[in-house]
Amino acid sequence: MQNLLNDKATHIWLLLMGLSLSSWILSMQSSRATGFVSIAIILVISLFKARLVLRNFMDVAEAPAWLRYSVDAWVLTVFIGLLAFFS
Amino acid sequence: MNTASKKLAPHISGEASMWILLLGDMVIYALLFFMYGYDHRQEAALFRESQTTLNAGFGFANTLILLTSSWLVVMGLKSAKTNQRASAANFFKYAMLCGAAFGVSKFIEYGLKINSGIELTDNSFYMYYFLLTGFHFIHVIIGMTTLFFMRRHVLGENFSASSDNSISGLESGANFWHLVDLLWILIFPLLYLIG
Repeated sequence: MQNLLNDKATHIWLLLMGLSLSSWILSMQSSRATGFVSIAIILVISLFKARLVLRNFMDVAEAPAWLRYSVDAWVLTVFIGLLAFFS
Repeated sequence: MNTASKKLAPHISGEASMWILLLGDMVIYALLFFMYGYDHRQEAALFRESQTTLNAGFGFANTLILLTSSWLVVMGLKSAKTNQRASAANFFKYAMLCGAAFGVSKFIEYGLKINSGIELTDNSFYMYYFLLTGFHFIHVIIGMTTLFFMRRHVLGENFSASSDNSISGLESGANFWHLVDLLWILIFPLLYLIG
């Protein structure tokens, strides 16, 4: 149990849960987040969560450069694309 | 020196061919997200009105379930790598149970929508809702099947924690399950939170 609590993956998991909760709370200001700032913050949080999973759970942080750059390009493209459509 | 070199040496988790498949899936989903974003922009009022019929509580609960399952898979893989086979099998089993909980939640959510008269063909938003979540649910089923075989493998005679093949196979399976989580991390805000 102590090992589980001290594991980096557990800390990342708790961070991911907390970030999910913060997105949900942010969207509840109205029934849906419709303002540009709220949408941008929720998208930043979501893509940050996605990157946390990719780098820490899928070990992309230790992967060869081609994979690290491909994954970061995907995260950035999705973020910019969605921000453009929802702005 | 050797230790430092080992730490710095790049390591690909699982088979490279699996990563090509995962990246392909990520690109397909990115295109679907962009199509959704484009149509949302074109029919903003309709999309926003339709979104109010969704219960974000289901989306949030499913997010927590999948994040937890991903963490369980990470811990299972760590146990397998240190030859704690029973512990690894348990982690994979609990991750599968999370997948099952996700499935139950999805069926309840779909049931509520269908009972209230909402169908895939009602409008563009519901088409995307059923398409994005439906394709994702297929991933969940494939992922649960993968977890089943991963569990069987760590308990089987052919498993060896020192075998690159054994570990690489488990890593590939684990990465597929993380992809299921990753896709939901973006589907959740798009359908349920922002409009």
